[in-house]
Amino acid sequence: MRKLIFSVVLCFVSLVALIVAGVFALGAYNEHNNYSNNSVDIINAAAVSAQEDQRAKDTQIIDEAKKGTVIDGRVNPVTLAYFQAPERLANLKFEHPRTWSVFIKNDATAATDRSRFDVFFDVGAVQPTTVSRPHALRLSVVDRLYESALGDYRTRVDSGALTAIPYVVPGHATDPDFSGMRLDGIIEDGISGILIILPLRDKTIMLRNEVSEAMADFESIVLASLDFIP
Amino acid sequence: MHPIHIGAKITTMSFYEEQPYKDGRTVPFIIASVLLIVLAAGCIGLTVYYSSITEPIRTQVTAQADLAAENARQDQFAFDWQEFEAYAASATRVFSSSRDLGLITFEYPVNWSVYIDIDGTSNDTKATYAVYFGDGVVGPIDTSYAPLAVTLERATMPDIMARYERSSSRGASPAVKDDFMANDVVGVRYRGDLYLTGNNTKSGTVIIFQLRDKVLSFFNYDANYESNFYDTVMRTVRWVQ
Repeated sequence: MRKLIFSVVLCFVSLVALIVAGVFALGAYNEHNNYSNNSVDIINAAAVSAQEDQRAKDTQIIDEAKKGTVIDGRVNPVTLAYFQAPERLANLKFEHPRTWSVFIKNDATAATDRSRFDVFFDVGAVQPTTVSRPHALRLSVVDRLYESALGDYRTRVDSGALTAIPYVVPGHATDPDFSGMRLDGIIEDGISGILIILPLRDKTIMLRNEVSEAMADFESIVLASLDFIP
Repeated sequence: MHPIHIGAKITTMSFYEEQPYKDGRTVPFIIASVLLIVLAAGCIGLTVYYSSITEPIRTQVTAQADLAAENARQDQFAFDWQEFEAYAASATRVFSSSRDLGLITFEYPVNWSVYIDIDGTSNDTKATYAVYFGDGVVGPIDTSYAPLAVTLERATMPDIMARYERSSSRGASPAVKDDFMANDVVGVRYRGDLYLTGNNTKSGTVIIFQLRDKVLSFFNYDANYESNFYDTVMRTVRWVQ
């Protein structure tokens, strides 16, 4: 009797094994057919799915960005704008608030002054540059050596009108090519603010903030995103 | 195996119990089992076979699907970002001069920059007010003030009109003249080569209006910005006449 039970069980187990193996074989066959005959559909489905996922993700980010939130790795065009100097000026670039206007007074070409690149930034409209007025940001790249440009402020530093501390461009702490000086105080008669002086080969970069209301944006947006190829 | 005692009675039942393979009831099961095992082995073989020939196809199709998905993601992101930038650029902000200068107000695209070259605080210059607008940045004003420039000059309409009508008397292509209404005031529009300073001409459009003892001028020098010039700026411009 035990032998009979054994043979029945063996038969049952064999049947189960056949069913399982059959399912696997059928699955493998179907998969083969699927990949062989429907490869275009599979690829298209993957693309459509990825597109829909990306659209959903973008919609969420853009809805937030429309409210003014920061977008990782991108300039939010609702709140920020991107300034980039010509390529010949070391690809100097940074972000600034969208509400600032930008006026390039000298573009370092023969049409203006080949030895200077002067850009003025102000909240709303850039005010006249022909008279001495404070601006939210003044960017200058001048044809002078760093030491010479820095020397212009030595008297004010010695007299205590300006405080000087070493400055390193964020993200380049270990690179001496990105090391310069930060001056705080009276930059010129009647104008106080922050002046960042950085060497750029045979030229010097100067960034000035002369309006206290724009100081926070100058430090947290402009200086934080400043970059160039030394 | 039990020992078989001599003389013991061997029954049919006990004989088959001792020799199960000769039991007619187990044989079909044994045969069926063998057949099932053989079939199962065949299925396993098919599984291995199909898996082995599917693997390279699957790898290739998966790689192509991943690439297509990545491209689709990038394309979608570029499209969405472009749409977002267009949305951001479609907004406008309002420009307004001081009340002393007629409280000139109008909308302009939010991504334009504004430079006030002459702010009306000096009476030394003939032009009492000059504002330049640029897409993103305002370039050096001697070389580019393409989308829009607004000036207010201490002059009369005939003085300024004579400037733009010079071209026809000199035989150059004349600027086309017609009327243009804004702020319920009829002004004059010139399109073509405009005399600016001396004999220097620049191709574009200027619309001029008398504003008390001054002439208010709106310039556009780039056809790419004509829709902004007319649909945004000139459509919304107001001043205190």
